[in-house]
Amino acid sequence: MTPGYIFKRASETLITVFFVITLTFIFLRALPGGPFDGEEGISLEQKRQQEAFFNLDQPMVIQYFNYLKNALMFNFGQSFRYANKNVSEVMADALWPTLEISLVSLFSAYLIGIPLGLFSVYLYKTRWDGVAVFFISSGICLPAFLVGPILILVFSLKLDWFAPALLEGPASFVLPVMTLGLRPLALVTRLIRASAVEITKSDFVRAARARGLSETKIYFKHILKNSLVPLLSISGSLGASIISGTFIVELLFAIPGLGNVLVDGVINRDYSLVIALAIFYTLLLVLLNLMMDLVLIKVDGRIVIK
Amino acid sequence: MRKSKALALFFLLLLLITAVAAPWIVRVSFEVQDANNILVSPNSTFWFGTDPLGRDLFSRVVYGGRISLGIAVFTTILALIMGGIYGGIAGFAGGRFDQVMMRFVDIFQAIPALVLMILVTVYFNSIRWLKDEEWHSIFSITAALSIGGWLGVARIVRGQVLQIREMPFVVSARGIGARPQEILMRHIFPHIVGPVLVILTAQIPAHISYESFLSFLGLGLHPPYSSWGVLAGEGWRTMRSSPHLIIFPGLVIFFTMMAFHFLGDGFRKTE
Repeated sequence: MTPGYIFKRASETLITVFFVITLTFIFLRALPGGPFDGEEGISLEQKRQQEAFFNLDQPMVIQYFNYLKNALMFNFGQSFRYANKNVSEVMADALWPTLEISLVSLFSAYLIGIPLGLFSVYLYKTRWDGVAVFFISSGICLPAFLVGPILILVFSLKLDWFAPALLEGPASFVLPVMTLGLRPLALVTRLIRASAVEITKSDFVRAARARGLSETKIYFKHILKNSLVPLLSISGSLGASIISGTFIVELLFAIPGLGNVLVDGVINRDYSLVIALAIFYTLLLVLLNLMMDLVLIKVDGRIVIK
Repeated sequence: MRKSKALALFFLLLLLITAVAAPWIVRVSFEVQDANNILVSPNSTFWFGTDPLGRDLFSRVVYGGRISLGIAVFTTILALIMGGIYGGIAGFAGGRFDQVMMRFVDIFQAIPALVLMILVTVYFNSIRWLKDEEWHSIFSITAALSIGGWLGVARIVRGQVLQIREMPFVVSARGIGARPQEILMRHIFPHIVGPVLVILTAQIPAHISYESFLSFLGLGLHPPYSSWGVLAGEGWRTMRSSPHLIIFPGLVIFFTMMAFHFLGDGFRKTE
């Protein structure tokens, strides 16, 4: 891992972020209708004043360069909707709930998915294999907006075990995490199953058997260890799956997180908020991918970087 | 797994037939509001029940399938054409040109697909240059899905073209002086049909899920026209009193995704 490689990846990240800032700016500023059009009972003059306050009356090019300059210093300006709040403040408030449910979902997916995957390898070539495949595929295909409502209907409205909304106390995590984590869980299980089945057929497992190693030892030392490596490479898509999942889950369970803020911001045309969020999500995903690549290079000796 | 593939194909054919023959299958049209039958639970007349305005949910789901499937298939084909041309050019040109073109794809792919799609839908929803409201919202969702979809196609097609253009039969065709467009159409194109078929079975369900996702968030069509995602979104709002309104559209989306999933698996295995 040379400094040159890290520099190359870092500059790629910067270019990507610059591109996203530009793209979001073009999309949102090109919209007809400003953020104050929907407000009732203000005169044209007051509207002008408000627009001048947020520098919306200046030429596009100047607005753009101002924005670029500020964004580089992580200053995303004021939110139009949330009174007297910086965009970064709005995001900081909403970040925590989203981070909590995302991380808990991701960890549960790994924690349950890896043993499940290995168990499904155990079922491979038995008549239960079809059932295992069916369940894994269901987990991947079930839309979050079907899982969430069914969980709410059964566990909070019928059985009254969990609250149907908001994040208050550990028990309230159960339903959102189940909704958010199901797809990542199924993806992890499918990947472990696929790579473990592949590894079972490989020469070194056959050699280990021939050497007379016990089945448990083969299972944990050879199969499990080697099937963990591909897990790293899908972390990017797991991250993306969780990010988009939070939009729905936060809406369903009324969690005041980033996903909710984004959907609101889009509807209310809260320009700076939406741009900041788009940059944030992109950065998150790029960094996640970068991190996983670096770890993968460390773990897998076969990868050669150019 | 052969059986599940056949079942998947059967289900998709059934969907296709109901979507095409919608007017002859439903009892009443999706727009008809029956004030005497509001929020009826599923029974023998109203197979999927009715919504708060007394519209037949079965009819709405059947007509919704037209829009959901139509958008998914159309955007997939659009993504195939766009990505195919872009990736084909990049792969065929090679060298620095290819590098620059693919760097552009990298940058686009780094943006979370849904964030990009939300931005595009909002943008097209507000410029409104189509008079008809339904067509306009269909158009904006189509634009959003195609902008995200072509990137993956471009990458795969480019990889295939890069591989094939170095194969002996292409090199020798070049050697005997075949023109570039001849090489492209006669020698390279037939070899990328297989991989493209696999992409097709993966992209259509992906687009169905993205479309329902956007519609569920309220960025899609407006009633009475509705895709499955719109129906699910409406159903969620009345979930407490009449759960059937979210369960049926949700299940239809789920079964469709499953069918494509198994069909895609089947394709990959026979490759």
